[in-house]
Amino acid sequence: MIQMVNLTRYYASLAAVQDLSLTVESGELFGFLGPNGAGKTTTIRMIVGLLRPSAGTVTVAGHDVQQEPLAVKRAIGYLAQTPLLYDKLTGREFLRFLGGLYSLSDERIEARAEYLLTMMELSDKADQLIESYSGGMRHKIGLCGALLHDPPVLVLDEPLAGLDPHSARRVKDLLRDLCRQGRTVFLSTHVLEVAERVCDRVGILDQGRLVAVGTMEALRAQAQTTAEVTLEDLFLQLTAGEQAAEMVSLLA
Amino acid sequence: MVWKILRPHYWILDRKVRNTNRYVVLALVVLLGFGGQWVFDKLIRDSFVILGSDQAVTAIASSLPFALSLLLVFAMLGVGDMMHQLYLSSDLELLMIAPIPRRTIFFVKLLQCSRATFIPALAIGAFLLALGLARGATLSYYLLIVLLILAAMLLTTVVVMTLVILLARLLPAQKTRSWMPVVLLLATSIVILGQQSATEWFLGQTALIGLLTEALLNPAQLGLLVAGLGGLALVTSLVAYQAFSTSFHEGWNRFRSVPTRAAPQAQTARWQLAKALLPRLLPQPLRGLIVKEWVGLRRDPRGLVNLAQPLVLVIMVLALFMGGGEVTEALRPLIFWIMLIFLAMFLSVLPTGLPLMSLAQEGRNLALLRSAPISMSDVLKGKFWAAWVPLVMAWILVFLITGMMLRFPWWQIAFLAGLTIWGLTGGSVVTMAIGGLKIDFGVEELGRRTPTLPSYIMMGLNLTFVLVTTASFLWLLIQLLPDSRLVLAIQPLAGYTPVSWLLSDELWVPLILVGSQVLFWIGARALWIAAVHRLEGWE
Repeated sequence: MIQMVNLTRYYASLAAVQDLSLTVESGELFGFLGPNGAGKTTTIRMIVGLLRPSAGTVTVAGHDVQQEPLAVKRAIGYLAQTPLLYDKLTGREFLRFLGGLYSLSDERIEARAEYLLTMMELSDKADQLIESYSGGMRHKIGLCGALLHDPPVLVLDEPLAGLDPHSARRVKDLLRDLCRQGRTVFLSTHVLEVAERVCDRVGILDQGRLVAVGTMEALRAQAQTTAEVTLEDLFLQLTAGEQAAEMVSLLA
Repeated sequence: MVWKILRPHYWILDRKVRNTNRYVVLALVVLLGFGGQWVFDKLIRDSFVILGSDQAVTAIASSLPFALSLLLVFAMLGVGDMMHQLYLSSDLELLMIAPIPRRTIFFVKLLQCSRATFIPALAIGAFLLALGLARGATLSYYLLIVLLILAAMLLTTVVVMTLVILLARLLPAQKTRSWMPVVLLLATSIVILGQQSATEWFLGQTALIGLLTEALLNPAQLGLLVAGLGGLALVTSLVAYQAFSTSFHEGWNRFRSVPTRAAPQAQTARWQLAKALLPRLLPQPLRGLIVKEWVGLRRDPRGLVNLAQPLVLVIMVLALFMGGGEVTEALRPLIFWIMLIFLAMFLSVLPTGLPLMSLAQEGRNLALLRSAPISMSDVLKGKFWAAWVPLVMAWILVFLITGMMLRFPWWQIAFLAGLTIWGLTGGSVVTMAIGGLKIDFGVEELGRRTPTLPSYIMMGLNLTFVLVTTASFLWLLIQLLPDSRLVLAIQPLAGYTPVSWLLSDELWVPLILVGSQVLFWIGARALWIAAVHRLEGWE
């Protein structure tokens, strides 16, 4: 459903993403991990067509992002790390506006908005201006926006950031449900526990390079460790290795 | 400590100066050099002569209302600036959590707020310098006026600071901030209206003004004035510090907390109404984009200020001509021309208001539009129509009201409306195109998203287009109604070259006017396409 081939992006001479090749299958929930500045957001922005790759290609739902950007955008629901919202609109008006951008009929917009607002427990706040929403509520309305047109592919940059445990659980369940229904979810997260428990596969990016990809079992096998080893251990081993070990020993 | 806190601002300024294009600096220096020479020759040289003569007191009395209203306008604008410096500047949170004494924060904020008084202080300083030079004042005069200006700056800053601190403490902070531009617009209109009566009053006070002028030139009396004003400024500073100590923190909290507020019922209903009224034929996403812009406009007082600008024209024209009587009747043919001049002035700046702002306001949210399956051409078109329609409607409404009150014939109203429609269309297209090319959507602060040089280019292009368009419309008017009172009224000005061109029957005049329009629209189209291309690739 999402295919990246030799994807590369430079900022001046700095390589933010290098030679990234990865395929995410239909119905899969893929977790994208990496330390700060590893290139996760750059990759996501290239998938949704906000950044032009310096080299390589991205294909979403069979459409090349550069060649057929509108077809790709129709297929994707995107949630940015900091949700992109209009403070002077109410939550409901924001969803109506987004529905218009995706050319949904008025009836469909109303039905989907009502369903999503109820699911995210935002119904009673739907007619309040977004400027008065808390951080978590802003994230939830952003997620409603990403899901509004019922896209086959969801690309979510830190979807659980700022959510309370109750809402986070609700979102995790929702994402799993969507995958069961055949939709594809590509999410980046810093919460390794989420990746470990929810994702079908994870990919670990470090300094712009994909250093590991696979199921938890495959990663453990790759690192030649036992079943007790957590994703956190693997992550540290793969991304910060000696530095992290040194830091742990110093702190101890 | 104060220097340590302000040092990053110096670094930022220093970096900005170093990074400025040297050719731009050179052009500015040349411009300032020639401009300064022109200003000196045309304005200052004569002023020296007047200030040194018996006419000085009358000249000061007659120019005082204008100078005072200018100061008042600056003071009112300063309220907004100080509100920003006090409560919304990016360094405030750091200052509040750092172990810094409260008086240090007060002093830092005092220095930051005082920048709002720089321009008026420069103007007053220039006047006092000219007065001293014209009257051959001693060295002590110049030293004392520096102190006098510093004391006045301090006094003004602490008075406005105290006012702002109390406003933020007592009134709903967000609403105060939102509605401040509206209050300023109304206050400015009142100041403009009050000029005439203020001039009459000041002309009756020449004895007092003469006495004050002499006192300024007497070192002993000037010294006393400086001591008095300085003392008053210090006492007021203590009062301001007390207000700061007791009320600042609470006001800051109120500014930071955003009240939970629902969209008023009427506005929710209006959304439905707008949807129903907008032609169903208007395709998505254009419809959605326009409705979004209008709802935002309705809820943002800054947008309403832009729409309310025509009111200033109404107030000015009605104040000048609603008196009635023989004089008004005799001036009737000129009212149209005066309105035309005002309109041309407004038209040259209007596109940099609502149309440009609607694009700049998008900021980082442009990424949301870019991730949606719509073309950036649709986004630009949506924003154009969303800004153009209310602006044109507001102005046509103004012409209808003022035209009817001043008993204009319908064709004069149609002329002004036509000029507005054409002028706003061209101005908005070219402004939004340059905005689309040059706005930095990643910048947090709205006011800094449009770089300075492109802003000047926009204003220059708008002015040129408005001049060409006005000339084209006038040429048509002169050709169609050569014997009307309007055209006859400008016959005495036939000696002026531009008027003589318009009145002449030469063929090259319409050719140049049409050619200029064609060139402008070809350029505007090229800029528009380039803007769409840039937005499509914006990262």
